[in-house]
Amino acid sequence: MILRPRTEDHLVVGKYTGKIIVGVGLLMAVPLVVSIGFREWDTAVDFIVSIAACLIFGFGTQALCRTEKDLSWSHGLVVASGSWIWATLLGALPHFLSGHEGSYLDAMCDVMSGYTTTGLYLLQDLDHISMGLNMWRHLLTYAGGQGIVVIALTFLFKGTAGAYKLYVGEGKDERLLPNVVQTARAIWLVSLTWLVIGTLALGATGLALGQAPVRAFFHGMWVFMGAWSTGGFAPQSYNTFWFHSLTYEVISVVIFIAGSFNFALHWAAWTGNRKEILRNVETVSFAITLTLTTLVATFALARAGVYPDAMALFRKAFYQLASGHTTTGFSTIYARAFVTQWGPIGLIATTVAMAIGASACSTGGGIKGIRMGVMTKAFLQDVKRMISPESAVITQKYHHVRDVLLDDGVVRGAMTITVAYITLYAITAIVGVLYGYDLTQSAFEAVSAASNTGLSCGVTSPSMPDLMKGLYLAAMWMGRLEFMSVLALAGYGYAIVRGK
Amino acid sequence: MVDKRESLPNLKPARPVWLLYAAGIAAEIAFILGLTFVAYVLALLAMAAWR
Repeated sequence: MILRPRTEDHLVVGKYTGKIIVGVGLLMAVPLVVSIGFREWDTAVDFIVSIAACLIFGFGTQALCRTEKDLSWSHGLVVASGSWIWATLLGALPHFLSGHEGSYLDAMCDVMSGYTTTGLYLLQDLDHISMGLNMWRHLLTYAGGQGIVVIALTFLFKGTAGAYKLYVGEGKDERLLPNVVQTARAIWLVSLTWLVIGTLALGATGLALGQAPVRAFFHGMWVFMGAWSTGGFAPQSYNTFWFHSLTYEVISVVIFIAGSFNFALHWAAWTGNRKEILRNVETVSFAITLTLTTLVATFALARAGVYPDAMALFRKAFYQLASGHTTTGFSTIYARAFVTQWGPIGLIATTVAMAIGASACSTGGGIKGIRMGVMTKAFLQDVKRMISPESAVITQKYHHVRDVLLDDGVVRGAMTITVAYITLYAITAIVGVLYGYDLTQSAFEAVSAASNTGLSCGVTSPSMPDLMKGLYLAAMWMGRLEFMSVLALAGYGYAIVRGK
Repeated sequence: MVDKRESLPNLKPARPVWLLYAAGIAAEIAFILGLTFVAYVLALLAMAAWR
């Protein structure tokens, strides 16, 4: 029998959702300051209206939902997934008010793409949007990379026993420190340190390339945010291709690969455990699958004779594949070049890299390296078991911060989420095919959306059908939160309607 | 109820090894890039020999 949620349950969900939306409103103060600094008065008004909407919603919900009850597991999952929807609805206001979006749905797609660090966008005339809106786009993706809930835990929650449930609901499950609020702060400590260093490096490169100091600084910061969060947003429509700079490419590769590492790995290295970097199952898995997919793509490109020499070919192939595999979405080729120059094999190699994705508990998406590592180890364990005597006891371990014994529960968990990802990729791709898109291109774009990558071969555009936009929006959301909290939200809704 | 562990700020690394952290991450990225590049060169050589 399904129990209908009680009033107390709604109050708990409302109270914590309100807190997170207040956080989103406060985050908008940053682009508001930028708008005022650049005397973009129309944009400033857009942000004032949006901040007011978020604060009214956030504080209003908290006032209506006063309760002392703490979060249960199901509450945490429902708040985490539900607050992403509310944050998208309200966060889309500045986009829509800017006049650069075809509809509110387009604006929501762009905001969900930002939060989920996907990088696909439907915004029109990107090269001429205001500094304030550009700041908001990149701040969205930087904040979304660490997690909206992580922000709230870091800055707004003074202490709640239910904090860990919110944190897990957002698709993260590593405890870097015994306390989850401290863990959230540790994530921010690492991210902010990288923000300073990355912005300086990219800003200096921009200056050397001839950009004006203010522009070089903002472009450096925004490209850093797009890279570190594996978001893929850039201030120009040609993405990182716009800079035509090997230095810019190298720095951005370093940042997005580092951003794709598990925060537990960063924290291990941060606290002096350097051996972890080379032993971790996720980095080993990533190195192997990136090498294999890059080789397949270079083989296709070499046969097609697209690039003039071997180094140019490697530079292009490695950048796109590393960007795809880390689920960043930066590209140094035109979107349609994936179709017209890379061909089906190049597209498939990139699609596979995107589908596997980055590390768990990182800013990236996709199936994740740890699951690939666990499934590979489980496969090897089964092979060993088959060729060993029946009485032999075969055990297998994998290394992630510590040695972990591979048991059926771990393998089942990895398989369940992997099957869920593959199903999501397939459904999203099939809908594209039903609308008349080529299967390879539709699969590329579907995987790009659901794995939160953001590379595009040209399918995503303001003129695509609304149903596909809605489906991509849902795929980005489910892919980022890794299904469980989304299913918990669906279950909560079902229980309200059908529960007793 | 307030979790009392909140009052134990412990964000400083146990051993503040900033340079070693940076070197470790850089070494890992260099390893990944190097591995891919070596595999690429070997593949090119294999293709050239095959032709």
